[in-house]
Amino acid sequence: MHPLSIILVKSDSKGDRLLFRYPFVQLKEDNETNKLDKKKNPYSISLLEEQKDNNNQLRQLSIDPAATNIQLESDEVLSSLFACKLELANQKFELKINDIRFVSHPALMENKNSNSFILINIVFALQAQCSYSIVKCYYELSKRLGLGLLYEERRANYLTKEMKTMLKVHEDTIYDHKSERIFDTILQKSSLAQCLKQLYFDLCTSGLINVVLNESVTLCFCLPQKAWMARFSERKTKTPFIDPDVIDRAIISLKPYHGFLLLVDPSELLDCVPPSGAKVLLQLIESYNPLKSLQSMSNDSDLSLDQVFQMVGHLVYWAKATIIYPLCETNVYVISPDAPIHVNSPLVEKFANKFPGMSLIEVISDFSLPTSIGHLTTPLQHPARQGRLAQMVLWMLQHHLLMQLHTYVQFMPSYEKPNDTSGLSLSDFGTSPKQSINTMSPEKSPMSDPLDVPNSTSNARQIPSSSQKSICSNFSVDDNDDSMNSLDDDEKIKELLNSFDECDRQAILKVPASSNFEDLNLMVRLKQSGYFQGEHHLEEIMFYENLRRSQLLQLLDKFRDVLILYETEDAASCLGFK
Amino acid sequence: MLTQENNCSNSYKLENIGANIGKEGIIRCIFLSEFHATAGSKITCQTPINFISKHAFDLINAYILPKRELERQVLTVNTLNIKIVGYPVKIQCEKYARNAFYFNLCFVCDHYCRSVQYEPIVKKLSEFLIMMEMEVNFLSNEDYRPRIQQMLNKIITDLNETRVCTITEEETTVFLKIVKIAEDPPEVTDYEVPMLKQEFENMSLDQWDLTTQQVLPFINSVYHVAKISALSDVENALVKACIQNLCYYDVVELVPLFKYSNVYMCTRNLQKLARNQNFAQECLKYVAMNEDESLPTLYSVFQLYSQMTHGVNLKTLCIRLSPRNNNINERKLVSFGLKHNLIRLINKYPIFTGSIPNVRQKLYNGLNHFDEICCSTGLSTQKLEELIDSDTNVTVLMK
Repeated sequence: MHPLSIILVKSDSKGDRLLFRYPFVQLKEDNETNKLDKKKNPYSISLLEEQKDNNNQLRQLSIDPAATNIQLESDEVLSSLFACKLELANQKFELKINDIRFVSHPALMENKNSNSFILINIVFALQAQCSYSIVKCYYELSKRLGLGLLYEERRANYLTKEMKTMLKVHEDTIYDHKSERIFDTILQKSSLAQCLKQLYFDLCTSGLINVVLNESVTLCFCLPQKAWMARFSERKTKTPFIDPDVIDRAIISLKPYHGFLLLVDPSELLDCVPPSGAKVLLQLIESYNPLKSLQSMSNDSDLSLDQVFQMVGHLVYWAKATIIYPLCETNVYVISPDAPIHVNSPLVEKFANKFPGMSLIEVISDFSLPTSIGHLTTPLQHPARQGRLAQMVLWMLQHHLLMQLHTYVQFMPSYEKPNDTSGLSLSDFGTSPKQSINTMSPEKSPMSDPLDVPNSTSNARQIPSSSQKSICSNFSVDDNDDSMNSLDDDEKIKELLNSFDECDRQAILKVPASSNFEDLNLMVRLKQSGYFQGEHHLEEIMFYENLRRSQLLQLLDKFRDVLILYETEDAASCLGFK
Repeated sequence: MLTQENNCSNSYKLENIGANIGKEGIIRCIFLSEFHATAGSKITCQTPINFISKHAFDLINAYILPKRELERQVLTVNTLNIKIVGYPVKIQCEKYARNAFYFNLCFVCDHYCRSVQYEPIVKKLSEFLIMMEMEVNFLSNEDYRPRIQQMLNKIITDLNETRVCTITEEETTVFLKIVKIAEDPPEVTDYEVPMLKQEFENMSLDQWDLTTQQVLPFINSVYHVAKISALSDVENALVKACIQNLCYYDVVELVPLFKYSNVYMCTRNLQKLARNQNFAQECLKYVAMNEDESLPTLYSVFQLYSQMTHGVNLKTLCIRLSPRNNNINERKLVSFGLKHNLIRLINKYPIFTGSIPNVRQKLYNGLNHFDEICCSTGLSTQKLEELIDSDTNVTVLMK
């Protein structure tokens, strides 16, 4: 996903020219042998890639072998290809030749007074298999670089000067065909060339870019796939596990009750925001605490919730932070399915350095079964111990070794008795798939009647129109000895259940707790707010409905006959680690 | 600044772009361009007519009929909101006015769609056109134009509709087929179980190679790879290659070995079962033990899935909820869940924490899970479990 090469092409009234290209160190002989290798084995590119990934350090120094393919095209050809027509400027431009994809966003600078123009094209050569999302990032990068140059050109004729410097080197060495030397000289003389070199290195290593054009325009850019991969280098995956799409989705599903966890030291954060954004970031970091929700951080830092969301989204995009549910005693964690824990894992040592005397394997084995911090500590223990455990949990969350489980609730009454299903006629769904089970069942109930006889409520089901009456009568008979206002309650309950269809109503009424108006009212309210469709976890329901955990758990327990609870991960905080 | 012109027809812009980003798209247009001795670069023929305007063509013709160095290479250009796949060709011959004839047959797609699948076709068609040109001046002789137009029409309709196309000109017949470019198949391991996809359950063996013919009868969603190798008397590596091949063609998929001691955990996808009626129906039909009896209820199926969590193995679950009483086949329940990612297997990874490991303990490195170790040592799960339980130097992680 890193670029094979960065190419700078200009086109103006004096014609087109490939000004600079990086990397350029390429001996012709090497080139030949590489080409031969490639012909022998069509998979050589990927194999070489593997080797490279294994020794990051070497890769920084050596030149990408796949880049040799670009050498197959001469500078003149590349120059003529990328000095595109003016009408193609300021929009995305992509050219694929065999297995190399050239991606750019040509920038056009026109000078109305002298009627001159400069078209500058910063082209990234990528492997053709690059995913759509990576290609999109490179478009964006090329576009921003172009804008930066445009700005500096207007302000200080930066581009004209740089172009002059580069062209001079080209002309001085025109009879010396060793292009490496030309580019080497350019690199020494031109600050723009140095910028591009810096860019190339950053893209190959961290994926995080912070370059300053002409000592004035700061360009902050992040290739999230690369940045996240670099952050979790111990996972050794070759495919990026995080796509900007995944991050976007996580950011969209960000809620005020979420918190965030920094993955780096706060001092390493400033390079990811342009100077203009630094103030907001500092404000946020000042109130940062993994135990706090975004909402409370927003209150503490005098930032609007939107600002906090945006900044946190930005930090996640830059692989500087991850979204969590604020750390607390009741959070349940398990080992995350892709946790790279083995005897030779570098994390084991890293952990031992951070927490002397502790073994990562031992600590994490406590989370083989879903466990909360509250479970692992007892009130009798020294508070420092709990603090230490919390620190360790945070460390493991930072490395995505743990994932949090949340409880979700699904409303699903068990009214469909096995012998009932013929009545509910599941086979009928084939013919009318659009119809939901809810609308279906009342119509079908007459058919299921014979089977329903032992069911005490069959009366009600038989005649849907009169069903409400019969429920009420059933109900009042059962609860005759209830309080005085039971009649009022009856009315209210009747009203409450109006929105439910027949089967659901029957099932709910069978639950003893439904006779309590308060309980039923809360249950119905939560159900109607859509909390019982497996979409919202308990913490979310508590947050939005302002309920205490014990209150909610009690209610769910009372209605357990019609609700199914299950534990799984949250979409926002797991970030698609699979 | 020059305004960007909308060169291509806008009718398809209304379609849902978002869903198709990065996916294979249909061919919007096919055109043949040539370098005319006097008129310069131009489009000779295109279908549908006027899809690529003269103006647009002039802007991009540097990439359609490029410099000599780029001849006979597949060239894709993506700009102006169109994506053009071409294969520029030059035929050197003294019969032409400039001693050479340049042409390029191009496919046009949406700019946000994948187009690699068309590359071999463009190349093949171009090679065919080269031959026709050399033999009968098919391209340079204007009399053939209507036939070329007809041919292009046929190609675009057939390829878009059926993904295959057969064209016959003179005595030559060319067969074109869009080959689906699938992801690289996963690596096959000893302990995984290949499972035939439903639509392939009754396919005939004849179309497969000999190894596959020998292996296929043993692919029954129950046997794992090592066992299939033993039963079919085919070498292990060959079986793996064969199953990997079947995976590539999407005929089989790999699931973990079914055991009652397995622990599963439900995923976020479980809510799909409650929301999507058709999906729920499919599930109920699949997991039913006896198809003649009434189908199991969604409640009982959902309940089983929802109780799959850490620390509860399938055996416990079966004792607790007795799925068979509800006409649910637990084996099918698990395979449906795994197939649709409603549940996933939680594996046990032993890690040796002592100082000097013996041969078997060397396997306890945190990278191998129980199934893997059982397969390579030939121990039963139960035996391994006992060994590990009694070994104080081993920590077991579940993930």
